[in-house]
Amino acid sequence: MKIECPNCSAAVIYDAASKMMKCNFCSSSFTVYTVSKQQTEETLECDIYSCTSCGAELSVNSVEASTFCAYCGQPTIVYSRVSQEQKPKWIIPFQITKKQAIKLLKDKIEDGAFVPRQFAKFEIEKIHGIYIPYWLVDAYYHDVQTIRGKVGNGKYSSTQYFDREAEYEFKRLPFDASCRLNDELSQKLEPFDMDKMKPFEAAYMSGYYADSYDQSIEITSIFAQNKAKKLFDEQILATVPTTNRSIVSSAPTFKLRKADYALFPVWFLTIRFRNQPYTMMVNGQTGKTVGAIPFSKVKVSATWIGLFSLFSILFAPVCALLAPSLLGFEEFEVIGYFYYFFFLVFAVAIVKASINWGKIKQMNILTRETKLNQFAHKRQDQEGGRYE
Amino acid sequence: MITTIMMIVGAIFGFAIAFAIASDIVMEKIIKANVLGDEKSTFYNYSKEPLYLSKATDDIAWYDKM
Repeated sequence: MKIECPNCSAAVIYDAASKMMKCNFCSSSFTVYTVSKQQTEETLECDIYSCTSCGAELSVNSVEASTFCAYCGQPTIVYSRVSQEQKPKWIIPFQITKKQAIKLLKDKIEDGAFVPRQFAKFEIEKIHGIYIPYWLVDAYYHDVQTIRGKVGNGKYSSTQYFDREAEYEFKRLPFDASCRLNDELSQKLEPFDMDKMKPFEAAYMSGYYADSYDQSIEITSIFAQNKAKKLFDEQILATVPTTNRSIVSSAPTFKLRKADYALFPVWFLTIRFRNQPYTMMVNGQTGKTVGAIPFSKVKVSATWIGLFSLFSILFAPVCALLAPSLLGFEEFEVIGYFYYFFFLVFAVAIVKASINWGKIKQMNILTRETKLNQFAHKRQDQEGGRYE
Repeated sequence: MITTIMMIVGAIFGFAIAFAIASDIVMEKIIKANVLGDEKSTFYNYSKEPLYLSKATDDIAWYDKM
């Protein structure tokens, strides 16, 4: 659907900086409500584009033709069809402009650690604003719980049981309604400030892509129940003044009141580094940046060797000199405590390093879209090359 | 002899601690500066105040008879 300029009938696009509709042909500006057509239908006409590489589908509500896939960065996107999409109830318009999104990413990369020199001088290969579909769920949750907790220490500790009953009305719990966008990434993009949501106007979509929802309300309801339970349990457990708290009995009631369809703004920026596309995301409302900045193995190794040498000089002689004292039973208690302490430091450091390494690796994989591509390829295989 | 062995074992342990701390510092630096999007939310998107919450004090606790 084309939003026309009231002066020259050319296409107008939504400008995030001025929050106005701009005509690039006659340079006029209009408010969103001036150019919006009166729409009472529940559906919205959109052009659907499919990616032959990863299977993603994007709906484009403007005259702009799509030339690449915003998800996998490949130029393998083809016009598919005109579709009647369900009209969203709410929209958060883009508040971060393209320039601001690039600046935010640039700042983050400048602040990054061990960033490869080539990557630091990055050039954006592709950038596009996409409205991501969300379900905003209102739900009722009631539960009667018995919680077990421990009071006191050692011999004087006792186990106590606490009864709790509560009911909550959750409002606007957000759930990403696109199966193609990894849930971990969409959760990292949150929060969106939903107090600034506006009733949907097609004009806001002009100049941007919009992903169509492909996750049903039924599936979302299961996620909503899990999230409501998590939030509920956190609040209830916080009212029990003991340690080692655990829920021993529970009888929850969950009711989905309603689910509103909404579109939230995200900038997708693709940077090519060593022939690999790195897709970073910027929340189009708050400017929160999501992604993993690659690091130079040479720089990391050099820093690690420096630190390792420094700590070896500190710890190796001390541990070597104290170790024989462990054989003497008189000194054992004092020296033993030293060793317990050292062992604790070792254990904490190694566990933390391993967890952090896992997180870094996972985020790198997500940023390089390998997981997303794998998911899409599997789907393509199942569907017998539907997009060919 | 035993003293020497103990010293070698002690030194290896010292190197292991150095290895763990150096790795931890490097990983922490990467995760803080290069993994973007892990900042904690400063505001909630949804209402989370209870409509009703039963008395949340110790006086309704009962002791384990076991």
